[in-house]
Amino acid sequence: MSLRDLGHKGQIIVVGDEAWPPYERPPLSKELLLGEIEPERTFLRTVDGFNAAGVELILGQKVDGIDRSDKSVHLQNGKSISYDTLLLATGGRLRKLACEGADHNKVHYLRGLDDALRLRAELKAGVRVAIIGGGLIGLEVAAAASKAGGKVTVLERSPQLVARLLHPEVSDVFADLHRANGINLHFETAVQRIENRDETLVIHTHDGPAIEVDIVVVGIGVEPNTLLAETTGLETDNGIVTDSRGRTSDKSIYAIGDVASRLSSDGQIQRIETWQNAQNQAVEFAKAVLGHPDAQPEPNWFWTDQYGVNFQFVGSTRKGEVVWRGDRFSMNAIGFHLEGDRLIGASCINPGREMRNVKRLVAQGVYIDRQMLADSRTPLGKISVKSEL
Amino acid sequence: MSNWVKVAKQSALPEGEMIAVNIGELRLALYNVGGDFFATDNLCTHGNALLTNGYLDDDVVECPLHAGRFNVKSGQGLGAPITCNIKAYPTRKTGDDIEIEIDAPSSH
Repeated sequence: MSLRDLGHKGQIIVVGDEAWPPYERPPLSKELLLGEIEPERTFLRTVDGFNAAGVELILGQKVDGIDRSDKSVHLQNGKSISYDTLLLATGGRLRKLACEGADHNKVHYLRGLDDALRLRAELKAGVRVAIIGGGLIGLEVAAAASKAGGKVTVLERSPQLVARLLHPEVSDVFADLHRANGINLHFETAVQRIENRDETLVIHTHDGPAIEVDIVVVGIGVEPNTLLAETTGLETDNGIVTDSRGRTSDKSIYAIGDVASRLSSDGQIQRIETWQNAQNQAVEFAKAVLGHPDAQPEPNWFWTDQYGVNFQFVGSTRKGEVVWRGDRFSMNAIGFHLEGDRLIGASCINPGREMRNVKRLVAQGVYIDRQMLADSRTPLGKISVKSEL
Repeated sequence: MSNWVKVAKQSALPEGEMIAVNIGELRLALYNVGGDFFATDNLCTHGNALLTNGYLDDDVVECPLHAGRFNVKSGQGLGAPITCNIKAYPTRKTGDDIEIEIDAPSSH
């Protein structure tokens, strides 16, 4: 759609292996799981909507192979499509639990619409749920299961929740929030095997009691879906390697989103799994292909909504030191992440209108007086850039 | 049958600002864009947030929850994450008042 918005008149064909038209993932573990919306509300556009913009969708088809010398793509149904420019947005592939008993049909994952609908059907009052993985997916599912009246246990193998993304002080807020909603949390727990005892699943961990549940939901992350790129001979390294505009080792092929291991403007190679990244890289791809200049890079931003609390995160939120503005356990606070005296990120709990000021401060990378940040009486809008100390 | 309902005095809403107004159970957002008034539903179509708690820039309102944006004149959603437009209501100035036209509930 960005290509069309920017005036591209050439043919655009999108091939996807799911039967659904392109849809948004964030609602799958939130509103859809909570039963507040149906699949249609997640669609980016309907099939007709895409067709009206001259974008042809080929749904439910896998790409078998790419012929780079011929510049064509082969579908499983035998058809071939020629291209001038090819975009790979193959996303992530679920990491699967490898232990004994993990292939039971009551062990759920959550990546696509089909997964979400299948899981939603199980979330009823009284259902006993074990969630393996204390990341954002696991926690959002915990919130939905709890709201549906389920009894929930979360098993996390590290000492904190959302370990991949967040500073321990921020993870503590999530632990507090979930416990307050009746969720049982187990840390440093690894699942040894899942036993099927007459349709009750029994989770055996290496050092704790066995946990009896009706369903298991696994949220242990995704791997970049690079198989097609690899067999095609494109460079891959924790994702499809691209330059700062998304071009792969073949100049006619681009890669974006969860699958792309991209050189950023500051010389780092990153693969980012956020909605905003996928969105921005898609727009950037359209600009790159049409010869428009790059936009100014924005700091990384992502969000989660759990139990009616909105959390938003900007910039770097895992390392460094946190200065809190407001009481973090009151569910209305901002944690500013500092590296020395430089603001590198923020973790925000129900920030509302403050978010704009927070994003501005993080984008500027200001050197800042901690007391000003922590003092709720100093409006964020009044804190301006200081020169390097 | 449609209804024009007086919701606020023009002097109460300066240029570039927005306020929440309720008509019965309808929660609406009223905007002043360059001296002209516009109205939409206040609850964002994307998440549980009131647009009047967000930001108004010219004729675009941005939701504070996930930065979804709408044109306040037409209710058109302006790209991701918005997938559903918001309902816009006709408005008019009558004397010093601002009126919004809503559909009255039918009697049967």
